[in-house]
Amino acid sequence: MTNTLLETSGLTKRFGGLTVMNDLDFRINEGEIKGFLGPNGAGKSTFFNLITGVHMPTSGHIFYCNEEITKYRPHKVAAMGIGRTFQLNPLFGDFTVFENVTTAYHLRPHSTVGQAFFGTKTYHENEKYIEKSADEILEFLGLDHVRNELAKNLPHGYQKILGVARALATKPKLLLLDEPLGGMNPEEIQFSINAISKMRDKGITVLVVEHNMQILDILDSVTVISFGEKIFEGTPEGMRNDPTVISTYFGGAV
Amino acid sequence: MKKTGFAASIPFIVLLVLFAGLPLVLNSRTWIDLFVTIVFNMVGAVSLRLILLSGNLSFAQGAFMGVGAYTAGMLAVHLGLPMWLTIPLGAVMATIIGLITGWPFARLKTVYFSMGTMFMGQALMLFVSAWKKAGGAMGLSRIPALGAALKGVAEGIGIKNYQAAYFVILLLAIFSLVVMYRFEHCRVGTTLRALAQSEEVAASIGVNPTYYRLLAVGVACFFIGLMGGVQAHYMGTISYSSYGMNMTLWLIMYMMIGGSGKFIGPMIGAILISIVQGIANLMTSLSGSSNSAGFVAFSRWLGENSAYTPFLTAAVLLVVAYLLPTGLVGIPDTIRENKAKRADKKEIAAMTQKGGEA
Amino acid sequence: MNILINTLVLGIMYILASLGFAFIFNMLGTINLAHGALYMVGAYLCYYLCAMAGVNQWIAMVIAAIVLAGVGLLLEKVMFRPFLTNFDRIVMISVGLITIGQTIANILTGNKAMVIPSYGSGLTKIAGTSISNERLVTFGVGLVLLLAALYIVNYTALGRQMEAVSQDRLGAALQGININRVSAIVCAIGIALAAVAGCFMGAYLGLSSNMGDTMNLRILMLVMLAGAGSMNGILITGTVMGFLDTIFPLYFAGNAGSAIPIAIVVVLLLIKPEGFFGHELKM
Repeated sequence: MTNTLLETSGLTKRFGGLTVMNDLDFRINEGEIKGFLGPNGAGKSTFFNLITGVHMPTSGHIFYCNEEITKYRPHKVAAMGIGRTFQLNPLFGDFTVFENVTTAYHLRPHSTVGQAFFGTKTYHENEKYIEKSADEILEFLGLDHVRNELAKNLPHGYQKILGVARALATKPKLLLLDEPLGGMNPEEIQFSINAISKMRDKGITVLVVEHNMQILDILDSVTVISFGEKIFEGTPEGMRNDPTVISTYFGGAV
Repeated sequence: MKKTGFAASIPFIVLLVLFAGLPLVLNSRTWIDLFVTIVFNMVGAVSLRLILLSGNLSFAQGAFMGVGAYTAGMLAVHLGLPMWLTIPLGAVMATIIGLITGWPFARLKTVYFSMGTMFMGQALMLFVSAWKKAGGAMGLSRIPALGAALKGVAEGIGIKNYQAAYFVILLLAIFSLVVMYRFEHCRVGTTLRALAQSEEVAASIGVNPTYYRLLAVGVACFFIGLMGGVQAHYMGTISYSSYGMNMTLWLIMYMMIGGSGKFIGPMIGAILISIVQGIANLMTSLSGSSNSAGFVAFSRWLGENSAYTPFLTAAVLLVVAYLLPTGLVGIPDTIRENKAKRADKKEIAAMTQKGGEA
Repeated sequence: MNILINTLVLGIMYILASLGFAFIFNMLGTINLAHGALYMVGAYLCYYLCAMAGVNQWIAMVIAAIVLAGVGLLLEKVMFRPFLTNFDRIVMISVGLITIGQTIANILTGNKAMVIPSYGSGLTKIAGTSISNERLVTFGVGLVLLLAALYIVNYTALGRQMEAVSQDRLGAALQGININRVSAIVCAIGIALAAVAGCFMGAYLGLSSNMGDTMNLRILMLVMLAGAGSMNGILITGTVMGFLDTIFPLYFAGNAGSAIPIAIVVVLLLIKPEGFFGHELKM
């Protein structure tokens, strides 16, 4: 039996007169790797921003683990166990790669301000654990050889992977990846796809927004939207053969 | 963050020795006044930098020092509370007011925080100037003196009253600086820096931006308020005009001239610029006991032209702004960076030349 | 009637002084800390042209405005443009400039009472009340300048370019707008308007080295209450502030007269720190 992890109902977002997301019903099951696809400007990033509380929806509801999180602010959504990356991957540029990841261990384990200030035993134990497991994440994502580089000096592809590393450090149950393959070379793409498919073994549910169709190979299911409306829901194979998807997504070319 | 070894603590030890030792030798009232001013300015500039760590530049630190000073002063004058109570209460009041006025703006973009604090700081001091109980435009006077209270202790050790007061102030300042240093160098400081670099990312890893920004504001206001409270009791008379926009701008100048990248930067800036500001006063007072005609003439010239000293500071600030973006303590980094840039340019020039030949 | 005209005079002066600050805030996304100081410099320049060089006060005002416009061009080039992404550096330079300006003003003023010669003498009777011509002239010129500024913002190519740049700098640049040129012009106009306001206020209330601080406070209130990107909001908040600053000093002596309006603004900003007329702020 699969459980629903995240669900939206009637999610609508308007910026001024512009409707970016219209009455979207969406669900993702626990343990899935799901794709959220659509042409440019379809509202994919907006969807992430609505879930994570960066924007407030005009109407509709978002449920996560049977709790309504519609009005939660970003840090609270993160505390609920939703990790995310960004399309334009902003990062802590003046920190090293390692510091980027250790800083991201803000929630689990969490040291209170008092514990950190007085350097209590819990705090030191937490810090030790964080250093160890940050190195594990870096190794898992192949960033260990740039561990001490400043994040802003990394090539673009590495910065994207660092975004994933940072999101993993929050120990998410649900991971939202915003164009994780964007701007990568073929080698990096292959590596990242492998890494994403391994998330399943770690018990992390993944929702990924992507343009690159290579991602389809590892997806369990797909939702396709266009201009804020859902036009397809199903398996990757089904999507490849769906006439509506072909006409909107691939244009007249197919 | 980086491990701090013994080498990193040498500058602090040197400063500590100077600030503990020199006032024993240079024990005239003028000298001690200068030392006290430097100590206040140091803590003020460091507290300003603590807020800046989270990406916010506060334009109200001078006013919060005023809140601390007026709270302590009024509690002592009107209610007759003892100093060991009024001074901490001043700090607490500064924290409360700092949090209330900072809260609305900590939620918005950083530029709003600057505008908001700028407005709130000036507004606060304007209220004080309009409040009769606070002495109004005349300022608050007859605040019990710290030196007089320490008379017994001072006589016991064999130092002067105001010297004893200085050492109490120094102890409180050291306490403030140590707390703020620790605050920055544990995980909380890292989180604040992260917040300054990208609020978006910080929130995505679960950091509550408003909470952490206000935490920095609260701690900074507490210690600037503490200094304000002590200042009220050291001076005996306080005026709202000395905690206005000018005071805040000076604190910003100390911080930025010294360099906001390192903890010691604002301290260095405060020491150097406070000396520049106080030199005319000091020389005039020293020339009274001097036999050298040249020295007396020079001091008199300095005294007569003391109105011009702000030009010197402003000039230093402009030089720092254009040439030393990381301030005085950042000079080694700046030199290294410029060297690297020049080397890069040479390399590129060499490469393009080669390309041209080929 | 006198309250009305005083409200309008003060209001329009506040608005004139604030417009440049708001232009710079909207277009460059940064605050011009030195705006009050420049307002003061305009007033002092005007005074010295009148008192020392014996220039007519109107000509002196025009010269002051032109000089300050030049300063605006210069500031855009050496202060705003190179450091747009680095607020710290802008602050350092502004604080340096403010210090220099204020120190000069302090040295020049000393204990003297300095007032720019009045821009109008005598009284005019309107609807049964006598109103000083100075106020009418101040209001009239202020209104003309304000309308001109509004015309530029709303109906000219420059105004549309300003709007484009303030919404999206990069996008505007890609559309072929010379963003540096637009920014420079806006800085020049904005600071010249502040200088004009300085001249009138210098004649109205006299000169002091802290007149810049006082005005800076008003500018902050106007712009913050109005909210980001709102020009019409400034017109409203300016008029309201002019009214409050006229009415309260009539009933409360000393500093209380100016403290009460500010207390009202403090409360309003605690409730709605993003302002009342601006567009929605995105974090």
